[in-house]
Amino acid sequence: MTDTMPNNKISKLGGMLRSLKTIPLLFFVGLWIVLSTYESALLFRINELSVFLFDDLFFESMMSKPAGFLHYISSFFVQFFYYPALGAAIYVALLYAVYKLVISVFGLQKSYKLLALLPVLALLVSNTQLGYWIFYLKQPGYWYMALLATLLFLLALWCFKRVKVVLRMFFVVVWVFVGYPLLGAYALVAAFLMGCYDVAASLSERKNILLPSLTLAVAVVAACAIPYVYYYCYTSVSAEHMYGAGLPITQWIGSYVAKVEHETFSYWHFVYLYWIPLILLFSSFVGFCVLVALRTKLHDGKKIERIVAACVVLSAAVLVCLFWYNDTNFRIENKQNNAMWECKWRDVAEYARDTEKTTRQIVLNKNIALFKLGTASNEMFSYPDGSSDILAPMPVHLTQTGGKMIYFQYGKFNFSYRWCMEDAVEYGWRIEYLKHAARSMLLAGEYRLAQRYIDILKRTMFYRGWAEDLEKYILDPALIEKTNEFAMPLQLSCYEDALGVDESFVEAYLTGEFKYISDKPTLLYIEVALMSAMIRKDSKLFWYLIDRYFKECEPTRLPRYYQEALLLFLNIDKGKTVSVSPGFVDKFVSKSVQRKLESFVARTKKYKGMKEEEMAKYFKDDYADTYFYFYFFVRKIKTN
Amino acid sequence: MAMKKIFGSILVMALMLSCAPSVPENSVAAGRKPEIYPQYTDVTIPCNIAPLTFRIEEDGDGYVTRFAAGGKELVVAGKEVAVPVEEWHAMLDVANGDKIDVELFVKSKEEWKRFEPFCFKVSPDSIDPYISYRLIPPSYVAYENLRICQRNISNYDEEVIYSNHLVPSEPHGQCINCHAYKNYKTDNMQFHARQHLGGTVFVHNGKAKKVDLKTDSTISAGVYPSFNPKYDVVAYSVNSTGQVFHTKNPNKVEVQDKASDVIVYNPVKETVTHVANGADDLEVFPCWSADGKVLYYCSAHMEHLDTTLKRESEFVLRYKEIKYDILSRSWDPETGEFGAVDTVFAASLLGMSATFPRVSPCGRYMLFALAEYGCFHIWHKDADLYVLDLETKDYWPLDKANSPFPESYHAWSSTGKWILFASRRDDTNYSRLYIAHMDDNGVADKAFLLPQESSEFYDFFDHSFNVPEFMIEPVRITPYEFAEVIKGEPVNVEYKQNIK
Repeated sequence: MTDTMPNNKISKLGGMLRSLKTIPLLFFVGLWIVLSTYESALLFRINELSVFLFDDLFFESMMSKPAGFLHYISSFFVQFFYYPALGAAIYVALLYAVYKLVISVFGLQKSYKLLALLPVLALLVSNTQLGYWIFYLKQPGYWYMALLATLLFLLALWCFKRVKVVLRMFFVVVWVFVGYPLLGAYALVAAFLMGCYDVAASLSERKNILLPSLTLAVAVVAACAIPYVYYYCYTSVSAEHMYGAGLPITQWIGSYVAKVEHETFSYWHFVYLYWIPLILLFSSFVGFCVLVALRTKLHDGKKIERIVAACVVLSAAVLVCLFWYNDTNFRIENKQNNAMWECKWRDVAEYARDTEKTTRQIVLNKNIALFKLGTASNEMFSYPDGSSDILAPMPVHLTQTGGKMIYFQYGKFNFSYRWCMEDAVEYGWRIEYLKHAARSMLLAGEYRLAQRYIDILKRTMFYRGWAEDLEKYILDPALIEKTNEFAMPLQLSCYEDALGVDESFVEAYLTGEFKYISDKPTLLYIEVALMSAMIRKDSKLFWYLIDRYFKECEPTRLPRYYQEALLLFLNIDKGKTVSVSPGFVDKFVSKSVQRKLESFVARTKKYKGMKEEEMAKYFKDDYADTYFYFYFFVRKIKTN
Repeated sequence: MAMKKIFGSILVMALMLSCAPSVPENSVAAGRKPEIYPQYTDVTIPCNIAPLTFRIEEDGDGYVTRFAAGGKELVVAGKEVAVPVEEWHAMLDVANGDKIDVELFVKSKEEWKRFEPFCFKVSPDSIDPYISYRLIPPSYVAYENLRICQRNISNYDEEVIYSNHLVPSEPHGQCINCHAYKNYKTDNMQFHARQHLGGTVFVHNGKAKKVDLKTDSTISAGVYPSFNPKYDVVAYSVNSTGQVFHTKNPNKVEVQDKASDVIVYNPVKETVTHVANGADDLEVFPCWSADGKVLYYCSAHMEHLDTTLKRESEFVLRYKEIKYDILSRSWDPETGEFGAVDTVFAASLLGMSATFPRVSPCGRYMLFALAEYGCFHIWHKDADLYVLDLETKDYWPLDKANSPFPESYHAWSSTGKWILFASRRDDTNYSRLYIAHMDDNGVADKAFLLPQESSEFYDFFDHSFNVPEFMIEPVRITPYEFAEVIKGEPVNVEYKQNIK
């Protein structure tokens, strides 16, 4: 008995694995694992880019548009991504419900059951394809909208089937009438699919299709006419957009108009791509109606089952490959952002090493982390640098993706707040904006304004604690200066008020602003200004600032990158505008740095005449972590 | 809305009948007035205003509020003190010309505390039944969800006059602003739509049209409007406006004109002409006198001194030097000629800047906003409301109505007994509407926040109220009709030398 038990178990497991029944199980479990681990940073960010408040005004504002209810409940579910594993579990569970309901409602035969994974896949990739759209979609609950609408449609179809045939056309009219304000365009499509199902079911049972055809016609007429009636009940949507309510239709079309020319082209720039999953979702249900119609003619058996399984697995592979936005930089930016909120500064810096072709946001986040760690002047140029293009069809600006955090950390509280306001207007308030607004105004000393955002955050499910922690500083402002987290932004806010415009170019604005030094700057301010001068490759400013640096802290030894910049600028200047006392270089610039520049110059001569891009490859291995390399080979930095 | 009211009333009545609250028999005096929000203590209110719903901001386990006026008493339980509309108006009727006493009791640790009573002074001066305002998030460059609304201030009913979402706006946005009415009526009114499908939506004798007020001879289309109360002309400023942002100043933004003039539009002949367009002057905020024969406006003299800089760049650097005076020109409706420029209030001589002059319906007083510099005082924390006596030239601040935060966008009621203005005093960022009583001497009483059905409304409402205007009747053209007008082609105006 004891010998046979394990063998039985093994053979059972083997049998299960061989069985096609395990495919859905593996799919859903695997999906949960992938989402809650590989995409955990994305899920958390999606939660931060949404908001759900337990508040009447919030409910009313959501309901003021068609599909408002769908927005509302979707936003409710999105907030669970605060805990990525929990959020992913709920999300996957609802996908599983769709899978089971499709099988049940459409009565899929055994061989065809796996086809129920197709709408699930379409729903999944309609989300995973988004990439930078997460910052720009004006639908805070987008991740759940299609999913919940599908679930409600399937439940409605389940009811529809149980209604007498003669009453079905009334059911459809009621569905559109009630469903449209709640679900928007999804209710209209669902009505059409109900009509299709009715015709298909009659064909299958070889019944008269006159009445079902009439139901389909009524569904189409209701779907066309009822939104127009509702137009006069809303003032928040144009007549032209009534039929697309609940879909990001205007944004996806609008982005095509606003599309910028990219240096490199990727299919992620193709705006119509984003429609494909939703079209697949719709098509899959039309397909199920066809299956219903052909039910009696379809063969059932192992062979068919294997063919269906192969097709579904292949489709899944293709869809996931094509529609899972897997840009490394996007992932790193999200991971960095989350780590910044948690003050895990070493992690923020280390994430920057995970890419070769980096974005400015990654570089800027990394620089902030290094300043926080106090190692910027020794580490800053030892990370990948550059300004890789953003893979998105629309113009992506740092102000939307990470600028608020960057402005805050550099002590530009008004600008951090300004972009919270601008983006809240454009995309609606989100947790991330509320947190930045509260924190920026707290450090700006505008406590009443900070309190406003704290009070709103206290109405959320998961950010109440965060808000209450921040509220302590309003009750006792003396704590602010004692808090390590606020030290850097406060030290960098030692500037005089000035008027300016950033034109959405965060880095260009910041490095420009750090040119202006007040009478009593902090040492950190001088160092950030010095680094900004080095990034701008502005030797004149560098000399002014290094002088201020010497006066401020009287160093006996210079950090590595100050040494490199100083030596490089001296060599370039050749004594024309700057002179240093004898022995100055030997005192402050180490022999190894001097040797490094000598070998760099020698190698430059060796490759004279070569194109810059080619030359960069030959220098990369030995000099990529030097300021010399940054100065000569990291060019055309585009701040977005 | 009607159904909601009926159900609400039934619910409230049922609750009152089932568990009518009573004033505690035993209580100890707290020795001070209670903290409430909004700050409605001892305010003067019109005899036809909506209930002043407020919440008690005192810690406690139980709350009772007693309203008493002329022998009539009303007791409300709960931290949120909301009186049903009908009962409130019945109480206002009793207290008309007198006051409503309000006494609060808060239960804490099994003991009731009795706070010193405060009152609502009920003025017999009724207020215009409608107001309109633009709801706009207090952003700077972005605009997504804007709407001009009208509110019946005898209750809480709000309707949209026009929303910019009624025309497709992606990827281009549409801004809407500057609604204005002739003589507080809505058969002659206007507002602007900007950018996408832009133009001035002009209602002339009840008929709406879209007008393009931009000509080759003017800087821009019309901006700040003023209907002549007696004649068929409308004054506008035309502006070339920019925004720059403070890095540290809590004012956050400066809205500046690099150029601006004043024009007058004749809606019958579809013509415009200049009234004020000095080369080194920034003229803005026109306002007609009550008799329609004088046009007031603001003007700042600002020379372009440093030719190495662009004009607008220099103005950014010298932003604190831009100070507006209030000037005027007489106008002869017979000839259409304007008289010489007269200085009405030389704010710059005081080192200040005066904006947004609004003349009272009686023609004697001018209400304006005064701050240290600039024209966009709604973002200036030091901006306060002042009154100028146009007969004696005396001026004074509305001390009881002002706050340490911005006050601007003011309007007189049709009787001149009430003023309505925007202030950011609540949280320093979101402008809210305040109403204050004006006596015959041009002195304002303590202002009160526009009442809402819930005291939490302002805590979470993420739009500012701006450009409030009184109306004696609602706008009857529907938002959908306005949308159709906006989608149509505009009427182009012609530039003329004379506006006769």
